[in-house]
Amino acid sequence: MANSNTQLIKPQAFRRGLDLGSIHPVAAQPIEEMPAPKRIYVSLKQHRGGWCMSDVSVGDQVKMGQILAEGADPDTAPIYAPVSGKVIAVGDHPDSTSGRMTPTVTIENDEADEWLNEPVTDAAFLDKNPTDLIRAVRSAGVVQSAGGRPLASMLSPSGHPQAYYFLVGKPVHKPVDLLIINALDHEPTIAVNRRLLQEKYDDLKIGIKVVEKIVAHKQSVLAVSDDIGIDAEAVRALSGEGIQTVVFHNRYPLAAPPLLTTAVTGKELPWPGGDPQDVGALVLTVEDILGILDAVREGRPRIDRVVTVRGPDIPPRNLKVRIGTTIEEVLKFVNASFDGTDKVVVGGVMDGVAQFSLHAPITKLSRAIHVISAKHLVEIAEDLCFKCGRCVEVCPMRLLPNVIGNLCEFGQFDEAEDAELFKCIECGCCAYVCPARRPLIHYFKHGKSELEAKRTAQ
Amino acid sequence: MSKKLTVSFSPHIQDHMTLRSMTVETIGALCPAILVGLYFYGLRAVMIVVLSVIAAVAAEAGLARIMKKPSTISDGTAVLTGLLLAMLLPVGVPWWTVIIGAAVAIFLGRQIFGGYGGNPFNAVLVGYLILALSWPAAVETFYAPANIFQGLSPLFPLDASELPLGLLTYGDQGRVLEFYPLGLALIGGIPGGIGSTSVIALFLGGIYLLVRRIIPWQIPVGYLIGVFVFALIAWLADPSGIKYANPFYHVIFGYTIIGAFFIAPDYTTSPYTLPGMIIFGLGAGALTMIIRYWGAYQDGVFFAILFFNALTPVLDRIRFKSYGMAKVSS
Repeated sequence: MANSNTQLIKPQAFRRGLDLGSIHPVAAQPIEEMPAPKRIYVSLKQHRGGWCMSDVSVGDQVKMGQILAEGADPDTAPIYAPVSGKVIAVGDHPDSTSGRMTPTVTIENDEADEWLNEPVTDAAFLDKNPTDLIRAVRSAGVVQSAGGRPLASMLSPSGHPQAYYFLVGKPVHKPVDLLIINALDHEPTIAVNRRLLQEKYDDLKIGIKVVEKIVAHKQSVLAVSDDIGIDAEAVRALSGEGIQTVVFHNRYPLAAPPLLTTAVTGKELPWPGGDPQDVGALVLTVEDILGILDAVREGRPRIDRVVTVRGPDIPPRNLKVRIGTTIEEVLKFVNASFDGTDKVVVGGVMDGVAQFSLHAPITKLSRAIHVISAKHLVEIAEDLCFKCGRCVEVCPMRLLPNVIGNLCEFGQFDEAEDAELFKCIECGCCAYVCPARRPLIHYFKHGKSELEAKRTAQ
Repeated sequence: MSKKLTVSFSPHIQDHMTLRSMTVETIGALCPAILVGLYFYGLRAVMIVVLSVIAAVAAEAGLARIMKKPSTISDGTAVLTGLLLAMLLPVGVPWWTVIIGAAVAIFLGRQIFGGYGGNPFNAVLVGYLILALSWPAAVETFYAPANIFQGLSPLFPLDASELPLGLLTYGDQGRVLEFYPLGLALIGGIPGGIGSTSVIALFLGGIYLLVRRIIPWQIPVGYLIGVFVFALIAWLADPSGIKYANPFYHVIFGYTIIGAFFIAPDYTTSPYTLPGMIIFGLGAGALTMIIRYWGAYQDGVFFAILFFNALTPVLDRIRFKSYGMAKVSS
């Protein structure tokens, strides 16, 4: 990989967005395993596309790693049983990602943890051809934890466009020159990627080789935040493999793939709707690469994930949790008192989803659980915008959030679209700084959904 | 667990700065300048300031009641408007003009457009300029500063040509420092509005606002550069050095500093895009000097800022291109 053709990457400074502080105690907490609870709720939508169809019915005995549901759409990913036990219900249940009722398979855990196919290391996994590797990634059901895109649909095999189309159903083949390994966390209060980088860098090295085998990129760059720094053991180990390291002060939302691609390559993506691959880059988080490695090396499907848990009365923890564990079980495990609990957010505090039920389960997309007490709730007002310009200053997409917010508030959705509403990534920086406390993200989401409904109707 | 949870859209955390906190800090930043005014002008200055604030707050409360809208007094903007208006006025202004000015500032300057955030023109300037155009003698007669410890003498009105800006613009600029020594001018012991003469106090307040990031730096810095560079060019263009004054004098005397830090950066009436802010500052500064040199008014600060308030919607269209390439590559 470290051949003479590679250019030295000179990262660009990212000055917009917010400085939420890079150094946070949560990044020093090792990952702990949480035992599987008595009852598991597996949501059938843990990816970008629509619901999967359930392959099991009430009363069935399932084993760990047995397929529960799959879908034909390339934007869906198969879902596997995280525990062994008996299916006791298939029906609607609260979901933490969408914040609404979603079809869910409920499993009574028999605590045997009996695998359908015990994951065993395949010694020759690196000798497989790229098509087989992609097939293994696809069938393991690993998805990007930001946005839920199945990872298999991002790995286009070099020189096999037909095979790629056959595998993922999309007639697009984009060559990848640069792999950006995203070891930044979406928000400083989440430490999933930073912990995995420090604890599993040996696996990460192999995972990068797998990705290289599939997409045949020429160069790899590791993006780390400045609290880990260039001298960390993990970063040194990866540098030894010829991977260039770039250190960023993790201003929120730099970890978002379009912004990270621009910061590393200096090129902006076509936006809205562009992809890092449009400029020849592939952005994968540490978590993504480790998921790919598990899939191809052991055939181990995605049945658990790392979740950062934070609350007002508990020290921050990083837990490895089975998919389908409810928020309530996780909070009980960390001894949260629930006294001050007023809002529970799954995902980051800047763009996570506030939950209406503590019975909502962890999915493949749940990076963190934040408990927020009543005295720290955000204020919301319907006062006029007084054009201070603080939102314009922080907007990472260089939009005019004040203007778009006003247009959406008063129902001028077509004008909002002309003001580039769809370029908004809903990071929340504008609403965070707004001194008039205007609910800008609410206005943007409302405007987008109105415009999409109008398009569907036409 | 049957606890009720609060559900809201993201983000779930928020910056501490609100309109109220920004207004309170701005009022705090004005305090040194007001104290200097009270030191030089005594009890009558206190009376003008209090009257102006009370009139502005009463107008805001009364209009909210008439229009059946929730009262917005608690955000502090009415207090700030009243305070700033009083700071611009000379100490000898009749008490009833202060009340009219403050009430007009709130009514015509702000509430008629829907409240704070809707007004196209700076409310303080609307109030001040309506007084200046209606009762020019009352508003443009300045008084010699006394000293609170010497016992205040009766107000002693000065002729326009005796004022610092009068000396600068009527060709007697070489003697301005004889009348008004530099030290006294910086502290504020020169004729002018109640709270607008002390360069040091206003500058300290302005720096505080910049450091706390309550106002954007582009507008005050642009404005001061606009004034200074325009005056510098005029000064250098005339080799005799008599016709146009030293550019430093134009920054020190008149309403330049209070205009730069407290009038021009008013959020609602100044641009929100970065290039717009810079053009706004530079342009208003240059126009100030044009009015001072060739206009009918001695000090051009207010008309220059008002003119650029009107240009603000246009300046807001000058912005950085949003993220994204123009064309999708294949």
